[in-house]
Amino acid sequence: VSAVTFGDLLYVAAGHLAAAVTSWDQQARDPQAAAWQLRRATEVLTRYADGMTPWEQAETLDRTDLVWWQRAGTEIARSLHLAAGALDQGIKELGGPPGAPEPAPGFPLDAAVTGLAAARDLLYTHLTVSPDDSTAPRTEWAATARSAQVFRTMTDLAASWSEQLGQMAGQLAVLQPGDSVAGPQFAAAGQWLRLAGASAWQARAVDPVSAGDHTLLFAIPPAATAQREAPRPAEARAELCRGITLSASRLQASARGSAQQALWSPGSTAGAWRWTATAGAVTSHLSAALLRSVARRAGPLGLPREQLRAAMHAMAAAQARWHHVAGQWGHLTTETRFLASGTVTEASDLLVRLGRLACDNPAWTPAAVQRAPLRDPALLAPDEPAAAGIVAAVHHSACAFECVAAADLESVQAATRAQRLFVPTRTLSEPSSEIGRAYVVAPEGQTWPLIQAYRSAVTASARAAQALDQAALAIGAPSQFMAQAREARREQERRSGPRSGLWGPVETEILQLGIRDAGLLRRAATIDAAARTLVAEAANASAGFTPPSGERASPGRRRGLASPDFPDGLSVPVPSPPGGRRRRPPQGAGRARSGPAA
Amino acid sequence: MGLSETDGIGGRLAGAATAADALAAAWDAFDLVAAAAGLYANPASAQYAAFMFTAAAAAEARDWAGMAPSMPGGPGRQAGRGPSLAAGELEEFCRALPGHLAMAAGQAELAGDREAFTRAAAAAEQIRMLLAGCGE
Repeated sequence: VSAVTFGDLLYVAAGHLAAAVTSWDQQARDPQAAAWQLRRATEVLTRYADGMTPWEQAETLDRTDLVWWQRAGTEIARSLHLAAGALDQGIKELGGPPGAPEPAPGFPLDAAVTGLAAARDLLYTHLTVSPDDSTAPRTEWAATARSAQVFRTMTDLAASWSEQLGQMAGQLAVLQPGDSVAGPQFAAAGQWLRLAGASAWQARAVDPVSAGDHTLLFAIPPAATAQREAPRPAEARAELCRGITLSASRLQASARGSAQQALWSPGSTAGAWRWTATAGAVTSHLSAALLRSVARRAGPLGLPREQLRAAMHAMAAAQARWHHVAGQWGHLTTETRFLASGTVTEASDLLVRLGRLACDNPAWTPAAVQRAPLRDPALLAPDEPAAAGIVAAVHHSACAFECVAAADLESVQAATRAQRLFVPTRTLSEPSSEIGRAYVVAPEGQTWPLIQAYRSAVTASARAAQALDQAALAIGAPSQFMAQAREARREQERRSGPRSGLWGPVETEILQLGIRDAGLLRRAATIDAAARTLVAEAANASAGFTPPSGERASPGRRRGLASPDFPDGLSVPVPSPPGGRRRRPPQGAGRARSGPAA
Repeated sequence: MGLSETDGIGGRLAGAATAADALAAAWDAFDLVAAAAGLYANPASAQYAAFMFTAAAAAEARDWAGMAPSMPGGPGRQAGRGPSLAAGELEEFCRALPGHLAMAAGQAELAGDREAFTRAAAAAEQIRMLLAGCGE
């Protein structure tokens, strides 16, 4: 939807940083301003490094392939904190008024800092940050923002930029008078920054960053914060596609977190779930019709017929599964009644626009009186860009309903566990002791088929979305970057092995106790992950296979992660370079931390 | 058979002496509409969306009636049975529902019953709009 991505902002900032390095001689003539700019740049990099260190993410803990980058990230963060301390000390020694002075216009380092901060802000629009600084997904891009690929690339870039800042700090130190007490502090900062820069060399050698990893940065848009745009009469094809994309993004955002609400929220109702299942069926039906029409244009426009037809069939299968879910609701209900919600509003907007795109009626609605034949494929997709735009819109819609299916399954399961599903006694064939009541708690014989139907819908919706990933890539649709990001996420899930989607025994036990504390659950997941790694290593050892050292999880790290003060009290072991020798800290670094250099 | 069932339910709704009778009749009416719309919801039809959303709206209206304070417990209509109604007959049956329910809302003594009838009437109006012209 947006032309600006995370990668765009990042690389513009990188350009400013490179310019700052080449013109640093001139800028460093004002040591006060230059030192403050270095301090700001170090601070923003520190924020990146702190945020990138994925200790809090249980899903990355059994990622043995990331261990080198995790270590690099930790070392970079530690070195940057020390560099910031040394810069603070140097600035203090320089004297002058307290607080950062306004940089002169055109100061390239300032522009770089602004750009880096903006890029970080964009990334965090996809995450919700808790008071304890842990993050939770907020949008469909959150998984990508926290993916191994982005983590690896950002750690690599942070190291490169730290190296550049280190050079600048070193130059600033050299330019200080011989008797200056600030000079050694800047020198120490430069050494810490260069150490941060060097921290990634081992990871780069073992697990190099690929071009695809970099490309992924350019796929991450800002979170859709736009207001709802209700369908207007007679919207053109491009407007309809844009509106579908917007609604799909907002629909995914509103679907997140609904499972927790299902335990108590009066807004989580059988009516809302039934309505969403109905919308899923109708949306899939319209999407399949659109894909069929676009596939018919494959010959004249040279489109990838096979992928389009595969997507159409997958979408038709999703329609059947959603239809089945709607039917399985039968007489099941909740104690509260259906109220309009964000999910319903967005799904409604999306559905109406899909109908207007697919059918030959610009005022299409689900009402029978507005029914219309499908549009002529030649008019619907007169050229390749039009076809690609339609595929992208359907792609976004499919991804949204993939998310809705998973969220609703979780919600309905939660509602079942909480005994929030009921059936009317009017439908009971045999008299019961509760016959005087109008409703009784739904028996498992009625809830189980519903949950099974949802599971089928989850699978079918995921398959449809994946088929559309392939179609979008093949046709070069505007959503192809999203397809790449989703593929990267699937690759990450494949590599992370059995953790994906499964709770381990400890986490299951905690959940069964009804505990939902995020910190406890993370610790439980960590213990499960450590146990899996241990068992895998033991199995390998018994088979005579010794994994490379980089693939072994650090026992110390596991212990730290599972400790009661996790993640704040984490003690991070400093890795040793090959040969077993521990790196020495830069000269003067100890003084930089504790006071002025002698 | 379908037509006689709609006649019977419509008659019970129009002539209900108590809120409980009206709620039970409303429940049966919407259960019948939900079942009939579900049968008509065929993806091959251009009216697929209309019948799907009719079924969803009817189920919600049925639950409004079912959860009302005066709703009697115990067995009722052979719920969920698919009546052999023509689409036009279904449309005609639904056309009369909003008026019957609005009248019942005006006569209900309990606030909970009044709200249930009012909400069910609104859903019935939505269904009427969804199905208008479906028999043509």
